[in-house]
Amino acid sequence: MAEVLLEVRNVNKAFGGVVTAKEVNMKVEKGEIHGLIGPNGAGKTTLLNLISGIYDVDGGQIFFKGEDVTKLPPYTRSRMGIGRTFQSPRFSPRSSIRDNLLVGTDLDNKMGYLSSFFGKKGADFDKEFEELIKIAGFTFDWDERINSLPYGQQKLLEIIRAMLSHPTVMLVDEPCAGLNMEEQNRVKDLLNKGLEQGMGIVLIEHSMEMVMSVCHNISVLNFGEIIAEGTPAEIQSNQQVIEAYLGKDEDTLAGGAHVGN
Amino acid sequence: MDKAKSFVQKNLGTIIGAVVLTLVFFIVPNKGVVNAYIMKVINLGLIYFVAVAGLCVILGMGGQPTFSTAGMMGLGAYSVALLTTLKGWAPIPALLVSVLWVTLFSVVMGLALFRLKGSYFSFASIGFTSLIFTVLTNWLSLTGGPDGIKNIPRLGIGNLVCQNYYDYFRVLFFIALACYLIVQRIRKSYLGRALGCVRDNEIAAQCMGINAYRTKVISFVIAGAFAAFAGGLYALHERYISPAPFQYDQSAIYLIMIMLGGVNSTGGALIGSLFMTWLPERIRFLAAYSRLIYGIGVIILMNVMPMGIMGLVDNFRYKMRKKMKKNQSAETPVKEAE
Repeated sequence: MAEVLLEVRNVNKAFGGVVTAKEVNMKVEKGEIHGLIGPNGAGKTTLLNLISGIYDVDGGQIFFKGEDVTKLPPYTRSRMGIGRTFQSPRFSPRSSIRDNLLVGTDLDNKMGYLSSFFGKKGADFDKEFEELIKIAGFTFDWDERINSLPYGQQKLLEIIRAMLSHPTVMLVDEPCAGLNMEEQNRVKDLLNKGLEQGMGIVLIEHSMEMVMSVCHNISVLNFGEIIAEGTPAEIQSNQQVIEAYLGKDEDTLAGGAHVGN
Repeated sequence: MDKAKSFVQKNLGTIIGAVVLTLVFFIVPNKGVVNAYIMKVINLGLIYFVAVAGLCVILGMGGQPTFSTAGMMGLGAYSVALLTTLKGWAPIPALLVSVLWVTLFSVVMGLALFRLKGSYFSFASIGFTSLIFTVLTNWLSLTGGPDGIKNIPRLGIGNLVCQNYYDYFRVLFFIALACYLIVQRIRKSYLGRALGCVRDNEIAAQCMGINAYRTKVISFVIAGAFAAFAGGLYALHERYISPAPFQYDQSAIYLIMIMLGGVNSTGGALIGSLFMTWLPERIRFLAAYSRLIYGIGVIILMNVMPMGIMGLVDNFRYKMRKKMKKNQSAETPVKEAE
């Protein structure tokens, strides 16, 4: 069994009366893409926010490489190696593309404000970026503002930014929403590249075709509870999952329909 | 020869800048070119630019509108004035010590003020500046109250003392240049990038390993140091200070300076500072209406060019580049990966 990078243990979270995480348990191993699926409002993004530290847990613990990170602030967690992307890309629209992406490299280099001011250069940013952008399959002008790019390219760039910081665990929130087929394939290639580098990846995705083809394991969330866990094949044949989420018609599964949204 | 040519091409901007600056340095401070009064106005513009340079960091890069500038300037100015007049210190050590303690004070204030977010932070910073103004006005035994402090010595070291506004200009020129370069350096360094992230999305910044709170406090401290330095220079330049120029509404003027020039541009901040120092002098005969004019001006400015003068320049450049690219790609079709 591969090394467990991330472990969520009995985590609870409620906003007022709305329970978004209830005794959630999840393990992510090295070299694994762990899918997180469920209907809208099931608590998928909340779970990512709990893991990256944007929300505090009400109860339970989160372990990263065996270390309890439950009480640590988000920036410490990302410095330790928990990277993430967002449902809609969160860049600085007023900064250039270069500045936006360099932040990822800065994180990887453990850059300090003073050392950077006095001219410390990071690792070879261009070479690695070159490799990743080749996978993403488009080109652009470095000095342009990031929101001049099409939405799909921004989403790909956000994954690249997270990858530039060399996270141990990467949390990817709906990378394929709003992307065309070609771009979805690029996302797949990028995630596989991440696996090659030895990451563990948590993937939220509504596209069943994507989830079933790239994930090694899948957790199904419904009303904040994990109702099933297993390999894609097991999930597809799990009666409870089919009823709660995937729909009773088996054809939807095979056809790879977008559920939710 | 080719090597020299490519060096020139690569650094064309820098070379032109250096030539222009050298010309300005030698031509402007001459009685035949500008009279003493205009020289004084330009000097004040440069001093304000030093304070506004700090705003470039906290507001331009970090997106935190602060009204603390005038307060920090007041602290800098009064401590220089007191150290030189009461304690008989030389101007330079007084300036350095003042900047140092105001910087340390900014750390404390930054830590406290950034407990608040967004507009709450701005309101608290107004409170801060009002507080300083009240102390400066009412601590009669130390600050002389509304009468202020007179006979502050001229800026200088040993026998090298600025005798007139032209001498001041020669010193302030280099100070302003140094501040400009420091801010540009910050803009291109990790701090600049991190502040950009915090400005546009604090949560995303945190998820990229950036401690938003600490980063904002650092920007506040930098702004405080610049403002204190500007305040000290103001005291040594005017040689008389009173609490009036350190009221919070003066902070609003500094904000207008940077907004007018372009919030994202250090050069714009310089243009804004010089213009906003010159304008009130120019429309002095309209003094009673100056607030009215400012108010209308700011409303128009924010509507017509929200990114200031340099924003317009940037947009123009951006469009030109796009146009050029279009022409290029029409000649040689670029392979697009799709």
